Amino acid sequence: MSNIENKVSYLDNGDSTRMLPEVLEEILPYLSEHYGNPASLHQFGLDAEEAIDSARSKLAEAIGAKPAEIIFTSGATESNNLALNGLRYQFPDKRHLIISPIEHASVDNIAKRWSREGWAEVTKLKVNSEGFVDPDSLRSAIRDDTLLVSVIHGNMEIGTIQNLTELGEICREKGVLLHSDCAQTFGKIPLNIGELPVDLASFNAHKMHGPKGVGALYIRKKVKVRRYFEGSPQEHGVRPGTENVPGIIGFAKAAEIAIRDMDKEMKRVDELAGRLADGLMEIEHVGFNGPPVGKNRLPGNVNITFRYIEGEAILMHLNIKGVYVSSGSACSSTTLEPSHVLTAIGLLHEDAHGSIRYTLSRLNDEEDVQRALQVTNETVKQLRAMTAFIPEKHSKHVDENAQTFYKHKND
Amino acid sequence: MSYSKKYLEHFSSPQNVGILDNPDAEIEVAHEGGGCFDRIKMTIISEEDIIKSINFKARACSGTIAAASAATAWAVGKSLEEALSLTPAIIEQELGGVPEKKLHSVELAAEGIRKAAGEVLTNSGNK
Repeated sequence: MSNIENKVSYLDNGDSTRMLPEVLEEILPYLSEHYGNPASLHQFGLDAEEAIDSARSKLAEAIGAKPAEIIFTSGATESNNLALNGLRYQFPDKRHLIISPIEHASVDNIAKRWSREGWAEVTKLKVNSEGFVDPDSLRSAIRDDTLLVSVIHGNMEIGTIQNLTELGEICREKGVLLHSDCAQTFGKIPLNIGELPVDLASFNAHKMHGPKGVGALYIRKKVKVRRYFEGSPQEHGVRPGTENVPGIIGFAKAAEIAIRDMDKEMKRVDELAGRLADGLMEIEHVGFNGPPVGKNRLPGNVNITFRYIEGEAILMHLNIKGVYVSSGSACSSTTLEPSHVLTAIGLLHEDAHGSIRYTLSRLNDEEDVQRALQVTNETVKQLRAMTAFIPEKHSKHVDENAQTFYKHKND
Repeated sequence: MSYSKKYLEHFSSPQNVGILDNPDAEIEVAHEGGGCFDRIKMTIISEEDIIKSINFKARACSGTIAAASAATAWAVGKSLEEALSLTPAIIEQELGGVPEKKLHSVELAAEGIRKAAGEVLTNSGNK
């Protein structure tokens, strides 16, 4: 223990990542000498415009899109809002929205709001115990007045990567638009949005070692989206407001690096995640949430249920011992509600409460895995010694997924 | 907000954890409402209306573990009557403050102490 004390293992890269030095270096001039507004007509303005145009081209290339199809935003939350609200204003007669039950809060809360306000009827698709959307439930949910289908590409909690080709083809067949939140997948798995049957897609920079406060919305050519707040006609008139020039520059750089190093780094990250998952599954009374590591799962994502104890207490112990993670427990949220993702895949509230998410990045190494295993083991032991409550009920899905985990290991 | 030093001490090295043998009373309290599943079990031993020992076990978040530790530490040596008047604010003070989202923890721990003391008094009244 002594040699690994006083160090931090940051295993919460699904929440945010550390900016790479090369990205920072690229941004710095745009925080000082290059301060022009891209809308200005003098040289400083023209330089800034050229810089963001170049970044737009790089980013477009990175996702297999055309530069004119990229709108810069403040992040994936704004992109999701722009996609959904932009279409709502464009097609006010279409009053039906379809989403998965495991969306990011931004999409989930727009759906709740539209439903509450009586603007739209919302259908939530079915997912199986690993979080994959049931294509049949999509096929039968689409109606004549369906505005949009929105399905998150890589789930932020359990790492499930949806088959957008299959889901998109159903949407195409039925003539309905598909939006996907790709915040977690971009930079981690190969993504050619131009070739996918997807019409709108949301991205951000800070999950891939870029800066916070910048993202993008891909809008396929010929898809019309109306701006939902007013200002000057930046970003093809769809997203008013002076562009975040340093952020955009950093975003493009981070994307370039992520794609350049993807094969090597993501393979390594997933090997680390595999060892972490194997080690954690050796602890008694645990469950594995989401698909097996390496099988349509976000690289580096491990989500485990530790039964009979509370996720927030695990998180806090790990925090004190220098391992930073996140939890789907209600006590780690301000609403005291457990993760809607974990309950959607069939976990009982008790099991959702005991869940911990570890998300690794290219900046993690074997030492982080060993530290996480050691302190998680200690913590679980300590907290279980304190509990007098061993409930009789368990989530069937936790057991099923644990079986899949072991089966996969023996493949 | 950040957690206070006392909160973190009570959470990471909680006092009075366990189950007493031959207690005067054994009670359970659980958080009702919301999705929170925090539960505390307490056992208590008193002598001439003074609390000699009070222990707890919990399936709970950091706040409830810290609050149960601070509440039981506060209760030892107090009279059963005093324990009946324990308020969440006293535990909050013992912990050097708690974030708003942990107010349910201090409420639950206070309820546990009051219920334990009340049960002893009821039992002794029945004797």
